Amino acid sequence: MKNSIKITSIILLGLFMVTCSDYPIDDRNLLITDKEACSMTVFELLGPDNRNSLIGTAVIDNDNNTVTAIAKFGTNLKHVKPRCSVEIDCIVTPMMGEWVDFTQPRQYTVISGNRKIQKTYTITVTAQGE
Amino acid sequence: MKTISILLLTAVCFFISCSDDNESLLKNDLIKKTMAPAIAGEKIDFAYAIGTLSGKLATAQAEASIAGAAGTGFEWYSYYTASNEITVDGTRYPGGSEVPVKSVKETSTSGAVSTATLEDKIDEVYMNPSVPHGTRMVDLIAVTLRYSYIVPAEAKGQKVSFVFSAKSSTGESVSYKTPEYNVSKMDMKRLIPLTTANVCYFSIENMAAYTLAEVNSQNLSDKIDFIYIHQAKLDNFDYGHAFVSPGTDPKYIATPNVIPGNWTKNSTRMEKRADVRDAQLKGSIPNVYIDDIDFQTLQLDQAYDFVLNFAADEGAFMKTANGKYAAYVYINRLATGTVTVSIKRYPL
Repeated sequence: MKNSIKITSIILLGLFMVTCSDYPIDDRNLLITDKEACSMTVFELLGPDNRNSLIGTAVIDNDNNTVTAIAKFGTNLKHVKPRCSVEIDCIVTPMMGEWVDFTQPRQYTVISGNRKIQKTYTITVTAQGE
Repeated sequence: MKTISILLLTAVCFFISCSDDNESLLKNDLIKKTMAPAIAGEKIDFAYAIGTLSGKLATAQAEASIAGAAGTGFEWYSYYTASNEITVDGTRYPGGSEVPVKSVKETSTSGAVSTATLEDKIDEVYMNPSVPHGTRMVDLIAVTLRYSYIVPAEAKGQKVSFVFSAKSSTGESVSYKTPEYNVSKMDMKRLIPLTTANVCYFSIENMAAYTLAEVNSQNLSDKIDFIYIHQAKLDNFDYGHAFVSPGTDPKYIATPNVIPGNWTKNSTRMEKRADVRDAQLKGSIPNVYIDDIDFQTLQLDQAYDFVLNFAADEGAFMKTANGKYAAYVYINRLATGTVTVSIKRYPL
């Protein structure tokens, strides 16, 4: 009985070490994986009402690394909060979800899960009627 | 030996002081029922429970640290929960609803002190739910009284506390002191109709809507903070129910003729909120409330001076151009060319 407990513990410990050692973490405590995919899939712009201010969906050009979007008439582009979806395990820098001024194009970099591929997107938003 | 003596003495003192409370035959407890911010003119409701094992209950008293406004005092009725539907004095009470039973003979409020003289007897159903309502009366030995405090205007921005007390027919007394509660600096006004056809000029300072004729005749243009406009589209863009300031860029004003050229052009910073459904403004759940701190920390430096496309249950935080007031204007309901709004206003 004692022996089987010992053996099970050793196996579990071994498995744990193997699993964890495969994926180190970065300075944001996110796993660095082996994924190479690196792109933005969805982009939205939230207003102070916490609703998407864009008309339709943003156009993401992954060949030229650009995003273009049109915001609703009357959107205050000086005070909006961008958010996006990316390929699995990617990170975005600078972080989205902060209040920013989008009256001029802004750049965000998507970095792959293995942190070896980067794509810097230029995001341009125009408000209707501007 | 000395140490043992000191310990024994301490233990005896402890037992003596504790036994005083435990031996009291009159007990009380209190619940503050109101969770909303205390705003002048609104109620703070309490439920004060008292019970005695000796004699009957005689009187109850509530003393506020600041005298309440008119309407402050004890209710004449206590309530039990109907287990099944019943009809009492012609009124139907579905199962689960509160049924009133008279528990107070006399109430009075003078200054900060409210008193209630209790009935000698109460319907037995109040003590024993298995007995049908109206079967017989029994001695009043336990009851929960309701006390409402109407927040007076002079308490704004201060703290208020209460001491509840009760006496039994044997002369025993008991009391309960509440903590201090903050009284808001806010003012509130509910259900103000606005229409594009007529009354569409709103003053935050006055918390009132005006017609064009009223603004002109009373020389109020410098007090107008926003104008209600409803138009489906402007230059083919969605516009809907909108608030614009007199000073808003004309390209965002669907009907520029509503703002006469000689008026003061106030620019009122405002930002829409879709998920701030204040229960006091809405008049129902959820129990979410805008309180003083929301206005104290409000940042509208980057905000525009108009909001378009309002839907029901949405609202807008605002700051008046002169920096005197912050406000939240909530859309209770809307229809073509009309909205009904409620407002909380905070002096900055």
